[in-house]
Amino acid sequence: MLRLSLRWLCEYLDTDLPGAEVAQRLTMAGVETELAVSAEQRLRLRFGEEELLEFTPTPDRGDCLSALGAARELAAILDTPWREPPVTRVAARASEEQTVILEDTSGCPRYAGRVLLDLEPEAKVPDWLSERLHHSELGSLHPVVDISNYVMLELGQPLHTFDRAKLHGAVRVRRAARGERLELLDGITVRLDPEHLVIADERRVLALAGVMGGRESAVGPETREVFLESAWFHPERIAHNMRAVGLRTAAAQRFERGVDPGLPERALERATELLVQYCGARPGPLVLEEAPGQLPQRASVLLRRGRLKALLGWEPPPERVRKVFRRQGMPVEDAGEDWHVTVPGHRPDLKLEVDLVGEVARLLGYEHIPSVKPRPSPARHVLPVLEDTAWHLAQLLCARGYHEAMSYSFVDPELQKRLFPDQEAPLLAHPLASSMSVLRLSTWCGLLSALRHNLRRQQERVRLFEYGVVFSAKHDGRPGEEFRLGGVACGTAHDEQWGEDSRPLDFYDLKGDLERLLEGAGKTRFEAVTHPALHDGQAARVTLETGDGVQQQLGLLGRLHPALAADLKLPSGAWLFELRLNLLEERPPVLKPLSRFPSLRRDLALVVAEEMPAAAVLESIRAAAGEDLAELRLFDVYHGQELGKNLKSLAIGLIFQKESSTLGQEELERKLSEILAAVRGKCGAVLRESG
Amino acid sequence: MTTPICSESDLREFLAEAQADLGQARDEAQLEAVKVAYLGRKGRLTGMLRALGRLDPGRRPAAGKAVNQARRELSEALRRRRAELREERLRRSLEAGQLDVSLPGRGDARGARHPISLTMERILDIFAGLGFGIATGPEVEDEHFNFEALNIPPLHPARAMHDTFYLERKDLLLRTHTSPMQIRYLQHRKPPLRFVAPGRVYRRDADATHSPMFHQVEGMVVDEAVSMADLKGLLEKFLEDFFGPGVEFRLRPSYFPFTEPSAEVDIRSASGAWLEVLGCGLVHPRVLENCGVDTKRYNGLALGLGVERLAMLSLGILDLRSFFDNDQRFLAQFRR
Repeated sequence: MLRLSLRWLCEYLDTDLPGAEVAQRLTMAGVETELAVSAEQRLRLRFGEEELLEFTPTPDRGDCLSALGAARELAAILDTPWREPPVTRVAARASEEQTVILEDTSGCPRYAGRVLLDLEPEAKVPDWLSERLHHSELGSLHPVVDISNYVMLELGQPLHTFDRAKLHGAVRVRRAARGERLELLDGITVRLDPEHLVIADERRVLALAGVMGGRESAVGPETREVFLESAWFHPERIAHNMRAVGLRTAAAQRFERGVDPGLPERALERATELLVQYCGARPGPLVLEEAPGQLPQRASVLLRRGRLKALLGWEPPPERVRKVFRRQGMPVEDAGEDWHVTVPGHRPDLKLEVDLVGEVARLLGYEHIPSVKPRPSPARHVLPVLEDTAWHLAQLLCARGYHEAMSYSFVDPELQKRLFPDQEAPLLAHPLASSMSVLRLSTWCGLLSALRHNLRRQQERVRLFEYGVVFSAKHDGRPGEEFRLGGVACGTAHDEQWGEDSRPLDFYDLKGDLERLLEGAGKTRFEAVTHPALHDGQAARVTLETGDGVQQQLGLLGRLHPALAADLKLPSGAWLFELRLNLLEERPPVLKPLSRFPSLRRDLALVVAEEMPAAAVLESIRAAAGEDLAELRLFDVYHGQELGKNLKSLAIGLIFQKESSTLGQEELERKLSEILAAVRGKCGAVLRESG
Repeated sequence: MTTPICSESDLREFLAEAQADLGQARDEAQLEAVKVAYLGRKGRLTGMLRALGRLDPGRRPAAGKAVNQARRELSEALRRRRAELREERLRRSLEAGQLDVSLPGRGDARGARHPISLTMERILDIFAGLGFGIATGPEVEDEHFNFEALNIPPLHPARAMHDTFYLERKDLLLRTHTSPMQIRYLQHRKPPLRFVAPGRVYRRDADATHSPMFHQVEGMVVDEAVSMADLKGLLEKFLEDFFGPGVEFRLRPSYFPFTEPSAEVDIRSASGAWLEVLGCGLVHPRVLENCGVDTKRYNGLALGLGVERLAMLSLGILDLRSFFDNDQRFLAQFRR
């Protein structure tokens, strides 16, 4: 974070715009800036009358993380000149030097340093300086640290100071050895490996380059001599180092985004100047080690006028284009219609022609870009099949009283293990909470949580559904993904209303809901199933017959297992279902001509064993009746002592209708006796004796 | 016993008597009895007509005329009384059949779609109308599709903008944005293309204004000579369709690794404040190259919408967390 007073910025350029206007102009050029605090807060914080600007530049704009950089940016936006502060050259007043050896020249191609002696023990930085540090929440620590932090705020170059008394021999900029350790300033010890760039001496690691110094070599109240470091570190190396501590320090934040490679010497001189002035330091000579070939080079990028116009849809006047770059200190050479722009060290983000196009657009203002109506549409598109199916089923469920829910894709591993003890779930490496640490195998975890949320809020009748991706663990570690629709239902079968007796929801209500959803889906079948999450004997799987007669499991429905319900503090009458949507596909309707001939109905009461599935009875009736059976209606199930033990009676209406003639009485009787013979043979069914 | 033929005054008296009987009839059955008593085969008036035959031929015409007249009058009275009774019966049955129409109707209340689904549907519908296809892709991605192909190399500072949920297998992650679907879609198709890619995305971030799971819709056009002006026009069309005509919006320069130039789009709220609604830009040439698109001929534009944000703005939802509490009392308000 960078927080600066407008007054500081005005040391580099002339503007009488109020802070709010400055913030607005910067924001509208892509450097998000806010007036930092309200007037009252400012008063309380004793920041005086100064207006504070808080800059939040995008990750490509490290150059805006300094007073000088922010001023340069503002000058370019306001199209006004800016003053570069003069570079001081401080003459050495001591001969002491610190030897620096660059071992990793790609990680650190430029390293400037200097020894400063005889620091005054009572030295203090001036109030204006500590106030400027305070604005950016860089507290006053030690005058030497304050000054290096101040130079970072002023110029954008992070510096580091070592207590010279703690150094042994040459300073080496090198990769860490595997397993080397460093106790950082904040007391945390990090284990290093050769990915990390460190500053070391002949004995041990002193600092994690560009991120944080070590505790041992840090300056403290006793420090009288320091070694001041001002270097250019490669952003990628800094990113590695940052990962080691998991901390984005002010220095790291700047190095990571790319500091101007021209800054190290200049910043070192500026810091020296301040150290001499406020700490009475006696400077040694500036030591510079570098590998210029490894430094980023100032690139010349071609900007074609035609390309600029094509990409913006607008042609800015050429003189304004040139000014955009020149105002920021970027040389522009005309090349016919086009331009060669030399990109300075502080703008590593400008690499390609499109980057220059962006630069022109943002500094001249996006408001100049015209608006062109979308080109005519070649086609109107529709939802992909899976989403379309989900959409359609969702509408049907809403019509049946279900609300659509949405829950997190990561769930509580314990709950999920209770529901699906035999399935492994993909794990998150760093979950937000242990209750959100595995990917969901089903929609049920989320739906049960939602059910509980509603029940706790006195919503007694709950109907919720959710569709979306669920996951499964696979051998190669890449989880499988499947699109499913799940639902939960609890409470009475119907909303409380007059003229209807209230009764609890049961299996057949839920099955009815699913049957309505699946009416267009093809041949489905419900079969009893056992499932760890569901009540034995009150659970079913739905299968779908696919083209080649294969039965595929389409889904499950059933009552939540009573033990689970008790553990989850849910009522025992909670029902669940889930369907795999990828198996459902749109099927064109198969039309049958409507018969002109009258239909005939005969009702049969068939007594069968209690455990005989009704579907088997219906199926054998259908098979025996053949195509003249237009409809079959099961309209009563009766249990009674007079039937005999473990028997039930099924009342079934058979509606016959022939396509090409009237069904004769004789033919009907023959058919009925064939049907009765079939159900007796296959299901042991006998006609219930009347009376 | 045959009624003697009578004088005109006798007849009138007889008629008055008959009409009184008719008036006494309280329903159609009683009325029928009166009819039989007078006009039936053995009825009194029928008897009178028969008796005419026994009269002097000289008196017959006049008497016949009078009796017939009486019969017509009686029939007419009967018809009127019958109509009266029918009317009466209808009135009574209507009176008996009065319902309290204010009682609630039978059946269960409907459910509602989730506000995110409703918003998603609106967004997709607008883009479908503009000829955008719909792309889909997995929610578990690898670093290539989620980052590298989108010009976000490892160690890139922009990765800090995406607090990523990695899986146990560390090269896999929950996609942090819908942009990987751009790559998957582009890889297998030839420009010109325009499509949207909707879906769930995940970031390791949770507070009052951040949800670790949220929804985005990515939109992309790849064609010849696509410009910022095309982008502005598309945004204008989308925002007007979504928020209503006259919505005021602005493009603010920003940075995304996969677009250049890049912009954030703000709309002006009723209170006058600018609210960020989406990010967009011209597709970075490296992203197109990564997908095998000939960047000498084609370029593109891309935009990424936050569905929760748009839902909150358009439906007046104040708390991001209410989307995932699944409280029925909240959800039911989105019935339509």
